[in-house]
Amino acid sequence: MMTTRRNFTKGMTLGASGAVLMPLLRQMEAHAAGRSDGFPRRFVFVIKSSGITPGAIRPEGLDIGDDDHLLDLKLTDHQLPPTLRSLDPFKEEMMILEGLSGANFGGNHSSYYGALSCHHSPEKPAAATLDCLLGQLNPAPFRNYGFAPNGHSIGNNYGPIVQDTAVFPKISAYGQNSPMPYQASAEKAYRQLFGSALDLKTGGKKEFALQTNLLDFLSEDTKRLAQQISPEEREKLDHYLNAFESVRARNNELVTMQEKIRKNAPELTSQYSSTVFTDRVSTFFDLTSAALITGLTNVISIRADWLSAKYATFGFKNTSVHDIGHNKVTDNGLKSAEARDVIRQFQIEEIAKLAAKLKAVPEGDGTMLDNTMIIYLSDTGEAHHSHRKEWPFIVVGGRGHTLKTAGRYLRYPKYGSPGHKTIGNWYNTILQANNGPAKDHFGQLDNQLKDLDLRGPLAEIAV
Amino acid sequence: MTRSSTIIATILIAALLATGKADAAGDDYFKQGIVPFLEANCLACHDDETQKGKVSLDTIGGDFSKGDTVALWERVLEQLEIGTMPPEKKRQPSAAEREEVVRWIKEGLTLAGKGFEIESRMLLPEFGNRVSHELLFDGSISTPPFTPARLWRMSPHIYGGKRYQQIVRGGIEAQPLSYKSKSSGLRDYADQEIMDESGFLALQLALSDIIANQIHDRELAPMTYGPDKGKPIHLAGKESFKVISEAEGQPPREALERVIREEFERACGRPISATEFQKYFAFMERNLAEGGNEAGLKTTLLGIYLSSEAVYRLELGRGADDEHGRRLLSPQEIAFALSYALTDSPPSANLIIQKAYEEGKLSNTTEVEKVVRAMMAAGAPPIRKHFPASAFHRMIQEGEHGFAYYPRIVRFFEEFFLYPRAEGTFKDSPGPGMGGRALIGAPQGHIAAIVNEDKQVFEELLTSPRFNNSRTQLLKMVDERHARKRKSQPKEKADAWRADMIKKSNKLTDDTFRAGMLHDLSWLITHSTNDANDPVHRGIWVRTHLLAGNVPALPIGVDAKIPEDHDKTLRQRFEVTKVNECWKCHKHFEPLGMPFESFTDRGWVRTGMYYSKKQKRFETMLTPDKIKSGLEKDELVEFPFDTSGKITGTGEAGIDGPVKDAHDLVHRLAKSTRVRQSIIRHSFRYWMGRNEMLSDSKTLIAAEKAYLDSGGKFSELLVSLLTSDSFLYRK
Repeated sequence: MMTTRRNFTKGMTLGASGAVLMPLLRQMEAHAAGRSDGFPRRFVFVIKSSGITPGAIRPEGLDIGDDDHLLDLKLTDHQLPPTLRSLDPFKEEMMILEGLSGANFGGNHSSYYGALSCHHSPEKPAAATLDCLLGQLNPAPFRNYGFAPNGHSIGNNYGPIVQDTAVFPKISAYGQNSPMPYQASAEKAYRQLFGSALDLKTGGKKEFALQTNLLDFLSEDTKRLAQQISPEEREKLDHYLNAFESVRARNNELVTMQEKIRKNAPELTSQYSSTVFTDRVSTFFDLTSAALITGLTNVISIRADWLSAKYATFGFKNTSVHDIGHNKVTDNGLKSAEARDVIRQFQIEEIAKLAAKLKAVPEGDGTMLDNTMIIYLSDTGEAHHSHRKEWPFIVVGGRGHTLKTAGRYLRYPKYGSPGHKTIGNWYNTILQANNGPAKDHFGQLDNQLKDLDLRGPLAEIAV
Repeated sequence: MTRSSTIIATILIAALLATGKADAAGDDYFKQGIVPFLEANCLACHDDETQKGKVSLDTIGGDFSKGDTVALWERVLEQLEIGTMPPEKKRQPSAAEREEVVRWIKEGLTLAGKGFEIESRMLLPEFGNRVSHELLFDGSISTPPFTPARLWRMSPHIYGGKRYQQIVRGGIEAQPLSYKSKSSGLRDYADQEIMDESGFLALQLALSDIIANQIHDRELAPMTYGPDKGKPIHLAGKESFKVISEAEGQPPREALERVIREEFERACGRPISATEFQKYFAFMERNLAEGGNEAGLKTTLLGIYLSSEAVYRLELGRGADDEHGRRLLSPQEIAFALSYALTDSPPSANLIIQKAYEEGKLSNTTEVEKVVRAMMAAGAPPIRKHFPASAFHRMIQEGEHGFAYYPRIVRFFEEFFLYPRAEGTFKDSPGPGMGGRALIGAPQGHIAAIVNEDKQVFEELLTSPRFNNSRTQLLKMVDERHARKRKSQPKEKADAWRADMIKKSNKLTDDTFRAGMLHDLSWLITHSTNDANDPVHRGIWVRTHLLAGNVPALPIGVDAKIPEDHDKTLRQRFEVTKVNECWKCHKHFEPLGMPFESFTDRGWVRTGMYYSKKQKRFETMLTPDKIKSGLEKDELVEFPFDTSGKITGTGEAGIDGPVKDAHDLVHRLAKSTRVRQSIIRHSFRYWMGRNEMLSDSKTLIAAEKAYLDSGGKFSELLVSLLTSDSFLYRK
């Protein structure tokens, strides 16, 4: 892709992030093509709403003291807290990461795109998010895939708990003003990911084969129009033609993967059409492991819940995540902290199940889990109404990712103290370890921290 | 060529291209044209000796091959374009002189390789005000106006207007189209919006969903609330789809033909031609044969819905060039342009336009004017926003049928004032949880009423007292409605309704302070922060939207935060901006935003500033009794209540100068010529889908004349714009 006028028409030359991004993407694609170690670098982002309570994910009985110096402990020396117990088998492959801030990415009840792009962008995406950048670096037929039960972030309390279309939860973006859609329907995701190789009543092999007809038809139609218009306007149609070509390229790849898809496609159980909230989330994790094992994509983003979600399964069908965030007691008498524990435990258990499935697949000298980094975070930092001066992460897997994450509890010094770091540093670390371009920082810097040295990746994690 | 001569040739060519250096003639021009300008307007402060702001233009020269020179001229360009230099109190160059130097600098920067950057940013919505206001309106430009020939991607609204989706159920309809523009507000610009890869994928996903939902009957999960709670919901599939998807064996030929014709017309807004029909039919047959009936139908429909004409509007102009090289839009293009100017539907949905088109009466300006006037006269029914609202707000929402309710006109004011954004705001300031959604219907109704009344529309929008929650005024409205209801309803019913309204009105206050849209709760809340007023953004809005002004960009590295002191008034906290490095930019907008201290951040009229010692915050919801007792008990501390501000930049006597409060501010602005012209410029951008160019001067002057000559009719402004050369001619 040349940087021509059409790239400008994407509004990309104004603003620091925009101007830098085009060369960034090209560089990354080039690097991706030349990867040497043979195994894809996979990522699963699990993004929950309403914050992650730092104290609740800390090793049992750990006292963080004055919080003004780095805490670096071996997880195997400690007991995981109750809601994380399902991760016991993975203690040596996981990291609990605390203390990083993202204070300058605010928003109403969520940082929205800011959580993964490190730009203040509560409404429209200002820059590409980390998951989309990693998807570019680790190409696969589907560059990224997103699952979200609903398209709202706050939403209304009256609509359906789970939707059945593509949605825009405002979490991920390919670039400035290019939001990434997520799929809310488990059945549709199933068809989109695996349908090309399966005999299904709808969305299966036969329908997939027709896509070539469609792309040919649209290409021809667009080219015909292009001949009637001026060169400047023709560039607009070039974008459209490029879109067809990229879908065509993906479809060609899927055709070569027919056997593998057939072998690894999950079973379409009744859970896929269930409208129970926790069922939907479970099927998303199901689809995730199958999609990764098949090699359909290398980067998946799962929106684990949203603020109007109501966990009827756990006895609070009239109390939403938002209500819990505002300390409302649930239908079955749980106080806020207890309800949050229940939710977190469910989400962690799903992660543990996913990790187990990946660990069961040998890859090279280890397992698929070694090459897959599952990252659990909230889109709003450390609380429902957060100050984002710390932003907790749990990382499972990815030992083979040239990052020192295995078996650690790492807590950075508190906001503003010497040695304090930000989520921008963390994302920069991940990118640089994955053939992302070497950059001083990722996203926007926090002006309140201008006396700290926030350049570069995290020395404690980078290799 | 030999290798060395290739190298030499390459170097020479590169040197020639990169030169930027003024040749002999260019040198002369610099000496005769630019140097005198610098001497007259700049060097008094910016010579080597004084170097105000550490800038010296003494030896800047015209050599654009030097990096330093280029960087300095870029800074000069910025200051000249946004008008911050020369400073207001100093001698000003004429608009023509300024424009000439700007043009010369841009030429030089183009030679230095920055041409693309500076030209293309002028296309952005946020750069519209950079075109010289004076030159646009002083009559010195006689260029015949036009719009560049273009493709215009369908907006999210036009997409919705195609009615692909039968039913929107609960939740949100995933809107697959998003605006690429960074700007909020007016932003549907033809040269900014494109259908790229991510847009295509999102659109294809959405359309696949929509088709899948209509290809069979289906049953949805029951509603969980409301009168139909628990009842299963049956949604019928689309007949024309089902007859194909559910056919045993070959579907009937008529069904295939029908679906192609109907869906093509839905997607492209016009009937399919014979050749196109053959193409789509062959495509359909192939898909059915290879994929079966259901998949075949689905693929064919996607081929129709995703074709480039379904996604892009064409505005190329047809026919021969006139003597200025311009082409009039074809009658079909005019039909689309007019239809999408006022509605989100294609011409086939609009009887007046469709009839004119079919009768061949859309081929010159006179005929277009006739159609536009007919559209204005016919008007549109009120749009009812389904938000929770008080009985009175509902009355205001559901105004009278009129042209003001054309969707695109409603939307212009939404994007201009940005008032609908009040809906999504959460407030952390003391007070009840936000009923933000209830705030949108009433201002929309007020605006529509003003536009329908069609008298001094701008002045009314800026100063009308109808925006007050006034019991008296609302009861008057009740009486008017009652009189109308009596004509169509039984007496008892109408009387009962009236009695109910009077009863409900008892809780209403009688504001008198509010004047115009800028005093409406929705505007104030939209332009506020979580817990305070926002004089910065309000001031910027006034400067850019009402004064056609520009505001310097926030310098990189500046931490623009005022202190958090909750025991100081907002104005006191803003004292930090008075230092020169802040004030040199803040002076352009802060004095325009400060008068809104007349209101709390939730839009309630303030009578004073009272700090509660117990609550440790400024109270905003006090009744006069509570204030009195609070002060007596020494519980409340009274702070200075300063609502003063200043208008600058109109150059009009009686307008520029200090203002007392928000009431004073809007009344003064409403009298200003520049304000009127600024609103006209924004209207131009909205209806042309682009920024104005200097060549649009004649259109803008004519539009202003139409407005003034008619006593301030918005309808006349629109007729003028939609029959202008800017609207109808392409190049």
